[in-house]
Amino acid sequence: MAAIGLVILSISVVIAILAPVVFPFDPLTTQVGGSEALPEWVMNFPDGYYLSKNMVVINDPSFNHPAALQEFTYTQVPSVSYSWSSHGYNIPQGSLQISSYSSSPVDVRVTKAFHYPFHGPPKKFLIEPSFAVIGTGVSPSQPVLVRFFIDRVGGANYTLWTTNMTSSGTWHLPLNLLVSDQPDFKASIGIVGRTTLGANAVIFPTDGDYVYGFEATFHGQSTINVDNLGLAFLGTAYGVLGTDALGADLLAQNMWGTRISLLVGLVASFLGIGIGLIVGLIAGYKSGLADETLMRFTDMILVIPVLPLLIVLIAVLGASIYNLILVIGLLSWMGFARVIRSQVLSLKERSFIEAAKASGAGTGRILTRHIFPNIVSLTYVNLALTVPAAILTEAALSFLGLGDPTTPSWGHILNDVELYQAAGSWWWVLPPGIAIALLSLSFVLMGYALDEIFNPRLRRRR
Amino acid sequence: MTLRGYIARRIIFTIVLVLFVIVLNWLIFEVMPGEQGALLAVQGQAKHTSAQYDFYAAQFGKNKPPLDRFVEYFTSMLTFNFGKSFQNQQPVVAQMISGGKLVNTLVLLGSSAVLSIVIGIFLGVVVSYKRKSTLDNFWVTTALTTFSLPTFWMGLSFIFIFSLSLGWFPPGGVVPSVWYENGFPNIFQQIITRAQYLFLPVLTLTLFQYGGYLLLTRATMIETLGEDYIVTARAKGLKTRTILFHHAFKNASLPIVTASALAFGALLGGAIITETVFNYPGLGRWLFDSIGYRDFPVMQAMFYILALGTIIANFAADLVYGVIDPRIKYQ
Repeated sequence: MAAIGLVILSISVVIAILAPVVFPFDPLTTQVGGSEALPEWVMNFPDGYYLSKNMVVINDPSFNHPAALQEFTYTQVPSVSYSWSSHGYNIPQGSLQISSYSSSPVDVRVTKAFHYPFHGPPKKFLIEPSFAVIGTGVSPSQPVLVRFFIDRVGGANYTLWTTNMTSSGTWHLPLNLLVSDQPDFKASIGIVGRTTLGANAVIFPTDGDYVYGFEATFHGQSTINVDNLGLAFLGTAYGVLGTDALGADLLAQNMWGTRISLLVGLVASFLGIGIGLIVGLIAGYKSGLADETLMRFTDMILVIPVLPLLIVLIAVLGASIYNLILVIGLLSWMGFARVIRSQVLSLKERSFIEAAKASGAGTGRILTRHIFPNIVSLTYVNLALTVPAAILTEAALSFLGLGDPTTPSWGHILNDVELYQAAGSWWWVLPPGIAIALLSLSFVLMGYALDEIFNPRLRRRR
Repeated sequence: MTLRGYIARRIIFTIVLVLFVIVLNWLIFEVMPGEQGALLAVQGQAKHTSAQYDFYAAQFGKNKPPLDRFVEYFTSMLTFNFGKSFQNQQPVVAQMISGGKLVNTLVLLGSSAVLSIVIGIFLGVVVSYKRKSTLDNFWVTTALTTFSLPTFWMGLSFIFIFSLSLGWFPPGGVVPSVWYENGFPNIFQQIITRAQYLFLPVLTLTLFQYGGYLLLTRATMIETLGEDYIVTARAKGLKTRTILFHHAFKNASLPIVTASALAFGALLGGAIITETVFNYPGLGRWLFDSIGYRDFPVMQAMFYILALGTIIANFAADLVYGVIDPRIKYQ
């Protein structure tokens, strides 16, 4: 049984060390996929048939590099030229420049054809910012009409945004752009009447071929620059453990959480054991007033309920990793102090201590040379039991929102579940608890095995 | 030391403990800077018109000498006058008692404690007899597992499985909100519905506790079963059931009594978490809410009440221990 515990612990340590290497970004705030995306392996099951993954259609939507122009297909008309311009909407700058040299109306299209391979709609298909157009040489008598669209081949055509430019020099940007097929998005922007798409429009209902781009109608010699012509899909499935409500990677959060649990669990336990050792040694060895006061004090703190006290202390001191370690450690030494004290008391009366004293050994020497080695075994066993308690306490405090809000920990993940009312998102709820249980269990198993070895009372009576 | 002397010692210890808790409670909140804390508490309301600023200033304001403040605080704690909650300006004690928070928590604690003690002890006795058997391994493993599983995760998983997926139980609360508008139904219907709302929280809290009782009972029973008088009882031809539950358990029950008292503090912690997960309107949930609102009177009151509860439980356990343990009675 202890071997299993050791294996789990080693794996956890490896994960803890590797987490910042495999996920070198802030796992709490970095969006990697659609919000509340399921794990990708669910797509292998019937339930996951309608899931979609992340996909990038346009590689360089803000035209950072002239090579971006090669992605598109252009209507070739003699009087119209297409070029790359360094004048763009975002920084770094860059845009697609279209100039018409004809004084009569010209109609051109810039498109990209692609295939959408998934059986269900994406979480989001336009990533902000989307679309920006500016005109030069445009006036009310020489307007330019620009229409951005997505057409499904053999299906419906959808106009995403239309702008009729009658002036030059200012960037035209869309308002209330539909960025998703998901019902909750549509409901949130009040789709009817504010975009050109009907309330029931689902642009990507299933797999198929699409054409994406825009159409510009020039009425004279003028130029337009188009920027942020992008199309990328955030899917409804991502990664090994999916994402949370902000689209952040849950596998990254869980792996980073290993670090916090191990750190707080081990350091707080060591702190508790250190204090307990000192108190137990003093109380056990120097009986009398010191023993009496220390034990009364220990008894008093033992009676006070731990979690309410922790809650109140953290609420007053503030939530940070160091406060957590300090506070948990300060409330975990009592049981161990008692155990040490009773062991020291029984050791004190043994004859080898008397012999040592008779040969002139001082208190310090007796403590370090004779007593300490005989209580070290107790330390191991107790460590194996206080570490899971510390891990669980840290997780409980983080769950209640009293942990460090900037560090990812398993309790923090479950706090988010409570915050976003997502108890139904099983991929979000289940992994942290399993992780906490496994890590605690590994220490408990090792402790139980050690206990069976060291505690003679549990051995079977011959 | 006679029984009377033992009880007297315990009473003195309890009184000292209560005083210690009161002082500790005061010290913790002293860390908050007085004037700033008071301003935070009233959040922009005018100082001279706000009753809560007065209450806060009376307790925490540094303008008064500390001794006066402490004496006022001390008397208020002893008379259970906790002032008004910052959040809704209602007296704390009224909300606790007539608001039903105290009763809710007691129901939750009581039912789960009884269930986990009965189940844990019974199973512990049974598996101690069949040590190293499959039954033993199974129950020990499950006890260790629920011991390691965090309570809040179990609660959330139960919500997911039994409430959201299967729809057998409501996901939180204590009574349906429509009852407040339409009136409460008759007592039998109330019991059935309330039991539905109670089921998942009580299940979570019971699972949290029973493992400890099981393992402890098993350990003490194994120790007791190795004694000579058990062999004698066997030789006399007594039935296994009599040996187990009558002879062995009586002697093994002593550590269980002490353990259950010590576990009361942990039980309160588990109750706070369970109430938070299930939105159960009890004292634990109230403490949790008060943190977000910086509701210091409630925080102080809740810590005091919860600590008092644990102290009383400990004292009760000491009394029971004094009565059961013949070494104390007949000395």
